[in-house]
Amino acid sequence: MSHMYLGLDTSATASAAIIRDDEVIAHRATDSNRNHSEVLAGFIADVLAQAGLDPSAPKTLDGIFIGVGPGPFTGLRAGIITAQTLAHTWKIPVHGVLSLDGLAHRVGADAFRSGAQEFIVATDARRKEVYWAHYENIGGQPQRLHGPFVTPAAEVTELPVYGAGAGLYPEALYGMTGFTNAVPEASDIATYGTLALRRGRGLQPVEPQYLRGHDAKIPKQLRS
Amino acid sequence: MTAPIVVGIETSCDETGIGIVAGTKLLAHQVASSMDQHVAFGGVIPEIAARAHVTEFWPVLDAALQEAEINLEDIDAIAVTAGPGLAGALMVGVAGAKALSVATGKPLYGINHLIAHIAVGYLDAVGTDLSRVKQLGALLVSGGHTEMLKIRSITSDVELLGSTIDDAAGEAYDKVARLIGAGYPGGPVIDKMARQGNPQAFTFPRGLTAPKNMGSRETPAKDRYNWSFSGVKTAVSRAVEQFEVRGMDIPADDIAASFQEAVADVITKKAVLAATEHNIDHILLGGGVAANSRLRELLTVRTAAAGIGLTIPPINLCTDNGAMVAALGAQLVAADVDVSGLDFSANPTQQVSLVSV
Repeated sequence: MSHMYLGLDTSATASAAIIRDDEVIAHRATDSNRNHSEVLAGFIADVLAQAGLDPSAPKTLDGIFIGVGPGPFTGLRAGIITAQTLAHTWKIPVHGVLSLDGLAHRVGADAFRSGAQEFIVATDARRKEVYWAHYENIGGQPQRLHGPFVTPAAEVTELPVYGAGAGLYPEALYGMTGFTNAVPEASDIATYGTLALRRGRGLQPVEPQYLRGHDAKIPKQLRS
Repeated sequence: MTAPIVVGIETSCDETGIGIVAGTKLLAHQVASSMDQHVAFGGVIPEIAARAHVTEFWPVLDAALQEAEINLEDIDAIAVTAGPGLAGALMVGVAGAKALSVATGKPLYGINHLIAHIAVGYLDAVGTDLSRVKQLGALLVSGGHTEMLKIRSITSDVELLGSTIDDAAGEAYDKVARLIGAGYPGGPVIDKMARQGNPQAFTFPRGLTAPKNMGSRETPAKDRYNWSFSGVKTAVSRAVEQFEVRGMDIPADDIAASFQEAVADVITKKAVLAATEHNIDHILLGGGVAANSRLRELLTVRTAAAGIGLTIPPINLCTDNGAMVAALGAQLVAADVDVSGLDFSANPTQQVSLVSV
């Protein structure tokens, strides 16, 4: 019996994809990393239509995978609240996927082919920092060894780096050719998510991975 | 058509509010507040508020559906606050509402938060038949807003007569509460302290009331119906300093009472003036500061003296909530206003002229 899932990611850009039996059959993404709450719902309506599903009753959809970050806060929240709302309304399961794990799964084959048994995935965390995690080759699949972290690029473990973080900080990170603009996409999230679901491990709670606290300071009149 | 069932979603500040109405009948009214998490900071921290909306959205929506005894299939439309408000907070509600619209196939309206504060007055639960009013006006006073509005049509034509040019009144309360060590939120604590104090102990300034700010009815100056609360805040700060440098106890109750008197006086005086000069025969009060005892008292006295009607909704419908958003949504459905679609943005500075996007 065939399986169909919706993937969503808003950890960098905003994207939506439908995957059927490990094949991406519909995909929409924006290049912008700032207008997630504007475009995401429209993308979802589009990919459902492309996949021949009725948006208000997609009976053959088995579940949703949502990239939970790390990523800029506002975008992450738009994705999480969207995924929760769809799952609740359609009464289907929703699973979290660490967005960096999704990208690692896409680039793993390239890393191992080039001889690297360990590599880094890094994305833009703004404020002169990157979100990153360290992966290694376990039986031909990337496994997360450390992370996720948010640090300046100079503090990232010295290994080949995949992802837009490498493109932003070429002086500090050894970027892999062809992957220095890569960001996690909905298709990555759905692809890795279905694998993790089959394995029974590697999924995350459906909550934003902010990695940073809020910046608010207690005013001095209120400090005791 | 039977009365449309509308779900209203409000996340513009620190309240996650979801309400459900059938036309003008209130079916559900659920609110979760992140206020406790802001107390230590003496004011709303936008990032804390936005994070709380994500956590509270579904518990509040589930509670509202349960209270209304309906399922999502039963609703006719969805309304969400598009602005004005805190950008990060607004975007949680907007993204959630859009997803709800996609998943249910129901039309979505992105609405104006301020107009929703007025629309709540049309609910049966408020007890005034506003459709019988000749010319409605609204005074909105909260932690984020201080506005006087003239409503020609709740769905399409609302005019801003006056507003604060700096802090909102509620914000001034929070800041003054901080200065006199009274706690947060400032409104209720100052109101309580004011009852023990002498409102004539200090004469704090009433902003923008000098002749050059007012002009005349025939040639009104720009700020005739506008407010400013930065001066009164500075005056309180100076007064507090005077006691501190002398090593004396701060007469907090007297300061609270005098501050409250200055604020309530200037708000009500200008609101009634604007109403009188714009043929407004009924004022609806909205916003969290509608809970303030002195503001209610003075507004009641002054509207009565001017022959103007006054409606003050129950306080849990004056503070931010989803029922007011649903109430405006139902008015928009009834007036056959165009739906907003899925690609609109949250608009932190949305003007009152834009009732729905």
